[in-house]
Amino acid sequence: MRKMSSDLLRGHTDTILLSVLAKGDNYGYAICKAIGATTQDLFELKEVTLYSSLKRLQQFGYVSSYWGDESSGGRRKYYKVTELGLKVRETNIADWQFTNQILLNLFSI
Amino acid sequence: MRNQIEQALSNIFNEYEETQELKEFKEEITVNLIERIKDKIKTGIEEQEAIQQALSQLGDITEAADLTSRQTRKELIFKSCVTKPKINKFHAVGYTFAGLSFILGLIIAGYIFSQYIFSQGIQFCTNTSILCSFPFLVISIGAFVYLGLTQETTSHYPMSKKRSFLYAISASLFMLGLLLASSFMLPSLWHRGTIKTFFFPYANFTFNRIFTVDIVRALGISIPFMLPALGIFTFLILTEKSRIKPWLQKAIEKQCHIYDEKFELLCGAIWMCVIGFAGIIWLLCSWAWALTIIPFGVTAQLLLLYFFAEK
Repeated sequence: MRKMSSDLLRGHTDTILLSVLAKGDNYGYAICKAIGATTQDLFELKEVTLYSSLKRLQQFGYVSSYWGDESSGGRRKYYKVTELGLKVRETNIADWQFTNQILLNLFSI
Repeated sequence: MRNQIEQALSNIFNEYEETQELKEFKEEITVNLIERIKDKIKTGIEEQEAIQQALSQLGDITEAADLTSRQTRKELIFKSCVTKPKINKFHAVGYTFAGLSFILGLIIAGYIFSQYIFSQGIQFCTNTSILCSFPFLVISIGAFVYLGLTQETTSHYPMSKKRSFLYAISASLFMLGLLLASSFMLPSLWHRGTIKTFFFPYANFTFNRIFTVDIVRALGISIPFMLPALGIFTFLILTEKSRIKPWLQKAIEKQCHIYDEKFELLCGAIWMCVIGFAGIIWLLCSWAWALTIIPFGVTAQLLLLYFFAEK
């Protein structure tokens, strides 16, 4: 069984969230669930990490939020990725691939 | 289940000031928690157990939340020192409309006055202009108060919407009372020649019966509005919570600390001076005369206290 480096993943929380939101607008708990489902529950995003990351993304203008109009059980706060957010996501992913390539090169010296 | 969660959340956040932002944050957490708990129940966990699990996770969360809020506070300090928070669309549009409404009210009142003051007299002019302009004036005053309080500034967080609304109602009621009172007072002042007297103080003016009756009338008509307005206002002021941002709070505390030190040093200087002078006077005259320096010392101390209290 392979081990996963949580620290490494945590450094990419913003990009992960942007990726989840790039698939469609979503709200807190469902974002957590989506991340759990994609990784077969290997990576669990802590709620606080989620909230603080979303808040930061909102401050930078990478995501915007709006309240859903659910009639029963309270309103959900939905997040939507902005144009700027999509660009940042692409840049981050490209940067990661570039870094990854360098790492692979270094590992195979 | 919802009540239980809300209770727990209000316990967790009771030390934080109740801003609109916090309110919405709590609402967001509550909905997410409820769904998490429902999912836990579906997997066969008992309801109470599920609630406890979710809430205990949240307990950890608040510890970490403190940490993250401290981080964001740092960002906030930096940001608020460099840039002002942006005015959002709602506020920009609101200010514009409130301003236009206020100006419109003034224009209407001014127009009626200038058109009818000579043909219809002061009473007609005052009543008509107040009747025509009061919706604009009252609403714009309320709107200004509401917008001003709900707006985030460099130094303050926005007030919650409900509270700001109450302040706005209080201001509007007060304005209404003021306008109604002036519908009695303006003509009265005009007739009594007070306005003339104001500019020419030596003109003959008597505080006669009619004038007093008008004051009573003005008070009578404004009290039903002013009194609730003042009541609401007093209640709000007494229950006010600080909306000062952390960076300013820190700056204030730091400043207070510096003042404290200065105050102690100056106190020391004053009393050393007093002792020195007392000694000199004792040597030159007598100890009885030396004692007279004490009231001066106390006076200097009180003045110092006043000086620092002002800051």
